[in-house]
Amino acid sequence: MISAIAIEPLRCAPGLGATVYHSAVGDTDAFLTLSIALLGDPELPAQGAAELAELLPVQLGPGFAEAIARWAARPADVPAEAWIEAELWADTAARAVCTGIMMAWLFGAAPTTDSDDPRWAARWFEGRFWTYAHAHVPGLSGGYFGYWSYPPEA
Amino acid sequence: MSLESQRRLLESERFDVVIVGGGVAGAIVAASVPPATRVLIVEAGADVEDSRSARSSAVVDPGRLAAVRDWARARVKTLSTPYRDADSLRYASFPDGSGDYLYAGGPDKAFKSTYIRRSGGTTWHWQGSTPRLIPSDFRMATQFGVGVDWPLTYDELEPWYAAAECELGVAGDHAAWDGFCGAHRSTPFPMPPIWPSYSDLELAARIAGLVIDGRAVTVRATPQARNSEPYQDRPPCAGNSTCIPICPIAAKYDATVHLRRAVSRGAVMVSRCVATRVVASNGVVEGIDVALWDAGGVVRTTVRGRHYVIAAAAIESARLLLLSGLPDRSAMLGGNLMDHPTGQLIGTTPAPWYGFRGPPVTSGIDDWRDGPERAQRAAWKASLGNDGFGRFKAKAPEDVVKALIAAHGFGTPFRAALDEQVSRMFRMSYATEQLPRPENRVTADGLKDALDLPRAQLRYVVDDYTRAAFPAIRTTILRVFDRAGITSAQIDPSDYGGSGHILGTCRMGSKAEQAVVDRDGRWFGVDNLFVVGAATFPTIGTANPTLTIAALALRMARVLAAS
Repeated sequence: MISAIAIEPLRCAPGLGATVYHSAVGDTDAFLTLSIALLGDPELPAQGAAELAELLPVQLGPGFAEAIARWAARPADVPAEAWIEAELWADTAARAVCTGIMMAWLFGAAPTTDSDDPRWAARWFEGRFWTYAHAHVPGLSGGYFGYWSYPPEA
Repeated sequence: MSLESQRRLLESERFDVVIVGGGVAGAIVAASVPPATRVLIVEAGADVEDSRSARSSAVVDPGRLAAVRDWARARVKTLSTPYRDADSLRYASFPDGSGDYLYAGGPDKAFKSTYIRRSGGTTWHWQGSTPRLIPSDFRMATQFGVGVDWPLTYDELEPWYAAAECELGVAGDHAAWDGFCGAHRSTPFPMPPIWPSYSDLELAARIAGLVIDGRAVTVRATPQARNSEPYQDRPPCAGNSTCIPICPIAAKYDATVHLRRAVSRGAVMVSRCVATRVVASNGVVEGIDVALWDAGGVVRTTVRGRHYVIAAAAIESARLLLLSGLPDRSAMLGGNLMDHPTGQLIGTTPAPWYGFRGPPVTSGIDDWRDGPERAQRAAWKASLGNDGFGRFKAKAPEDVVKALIAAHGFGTPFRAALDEQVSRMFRMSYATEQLPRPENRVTADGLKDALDLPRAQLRYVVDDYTRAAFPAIRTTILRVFDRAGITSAQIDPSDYGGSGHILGTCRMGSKAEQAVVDRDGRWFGVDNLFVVGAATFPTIGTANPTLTIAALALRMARVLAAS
C-alpha cells in the first residue's frame, strides 16, 4: 500500500495554459479503499480504480492527490466513515474532491468538465449507478425483449 | 465523389421527382413512387452511411461513445447546426444566439423544439411513439368552433394510416385502439404491442377503477415504431434504453430504412446538398437551386425534374419556400407554427417500480385526447416514463444523486438513501394540443448562415387555449399519483417544454385564400410543386405526428404516380 501520492507538476509548452498535475500512482489501494468508503460499496473493482486514479487528477486537480494522501495516512484505529466526516467532508475543498470521486464511479463521467480522453467514454459502461438502480447501462441491452415487464432478478 | 463530379451528375439528368429532404416524409415518398420513377433526393446534412456508422460505432467505438453519451446526457440533444463545417454528430447548444443556426425571435426563447439536419432527419432521435390522430382532430372548426378543419377526414386517411403502420413497423394493441375516440382501425397492427414496463403494470393495477371527471382512467400500451418481433430484417427491441438519441440495434424505425430502400430501387441521393431556392415561372417550377458543400468549399447548381416535393420539415421547408418568392394568396406560408407544449410531474412510488429499464415510454393515458372541453381548452395526453425522473429540471439522474450526496453525505447513509429512492423514481409527462395561429411564424429575414442564406427566425407564443389546460392536467395527474400511492410529487416549474413536434407553416386546405397547399399537398398556383410532412398539418390534435406524416407521404406517392 502506498502512503502518499507524489504530485509532479508537468510543464506545458509555453503559452499553452495551466500546469497539469500528474499523480504518480503505482498502487491504487488507497484510492480504492477511500472509494469503497465513500460509496459504501465493497465490490468496487480494482481495475476501475486504477483507471480512475489516472484520470481523476486531471479533473480534480492537486486536491485529489492530497485527499488520497490524507486518507492513506489516517490513524488505523479511527473508523473510516468517522474519519472522512471529520477530515474530508468538513473541508469544503476535500468534500468537492470526494463528491467528484463518487460521481466518477457512479456515472463513469468526467466529474467536472468534459474530457476528450477516450477512456472516459469507455468508463460510461462502468457506471455503478445503474447497478444500484437494478438496471443496466443505457446503450447496452437489459437482456431480451420484454425484460422490462418484470422486476429485476435479485 | 468530388463536388464538381456531383455537380456534373446533377446537371446531366432531368428527374421525374426531385425531393428536398431525406427525413421520414421525403424518404417514404422516394421509396413509394413506382419503381421506374427517376427520383433525386437532396439532403442538406450528412449521408446514410455516416448515420449507419454512427449507430454501429456507437456500440464499439469509444470515441463515438462520447458523442452518444453526450447526447444522452444533454438537456437538448438535437443537432441544429447545419453549418457546412459543423461536426454533424455532436449536439448543439440551445438555439438562442447568433452563434447557432436557428434562433427564436419570440420572448424568452419561446419555441422549445429543435430538429436534426441529416439523412434520416429527426427520426434519429425520436421516441418512436406512433398514435393516430382521432376523427375530431380533423374537424376542429366544425366540432368545437376553434382552429380549422382539415381538407381530409380520418376515414379518408385511415387506409394510409394502416399502410404507414406496415411501412414503419408499428407494434400495438389492436383491441385497445380500435374505435378509440371514434377512430376505427381497418387492420391489426403488423406486430403485437411492446410489452408494458413493470411500472406501467404497477400503476395500472393501482389506479384500476379510477374515474376522474366522469372518465375512467385507462393505461394503454402506446403504439410505437419499435419492433416487438423481427420485422423488415430488423431485430426486436432488446431494451437498450437509449432510443433517444439512438437505437444501437435498429429495432426502432428511423427513416434510413426508407432511404436505403429508395436508393436500392434506383433513387439518387445527394447528401450535403442544401436547397437554396425554388425557381418557378408562370406557375411551373423549373428547377431548384442547390449548394453542394464539403470541408473544402461550396459548388452551386440547379437540379431539374418534372415534380418537386419539399419535405424538409416545418422550419426548413418554410424557409426555403419563403426565400423562393412563390405566390401565396393565403399569406399563411410560414405561419401557424405549432408544437405540443409539454410538462412533467415526478414522484416517489410506494415500492420499487424499477425505472431505467426498457424503452423510454411504453404506455400512456389517453382519456383526455377528446371531449367537449376542447371548445374552451386544449386536449392532452400523458406518457408514463420508464426513465426515473427523466430530465426533470436538469440532467437527472446525475442531479438527483448530487442532491442525495448533499442531503446524506457519503458511505452507508448515502447508499441507503440511494437504494431507497433510485428504484422508486417515477415520471409522467403530458403533451398539450395547440391551435394554429398565423402570427406563430417562421420568417427568413434574419442573420445569414454559412451559405449566405437568411436563417429562420421564429415568432411563437403559447396562447390561452393551451394554457387553460395546464391546471386541469396537473390536477388530474396528481389525482392519479394519489390513487397510486405516489408521494413527494413535484410539478416541473418551467412554463412548458417542447415535444420536438414542429408542425404547421405550410397549411393544407381547400382554398388558396386559406391555405398554402391543397389536400394532396400541391401548391396552390404551382402545379408541379408539393409539400409533404408536418409542415402541412392544419391542426395537430395530441398525437405524436410521425405516423400521420408517413400516411400523408404514402398518399402523396400515389398522387405523384397518378400525375
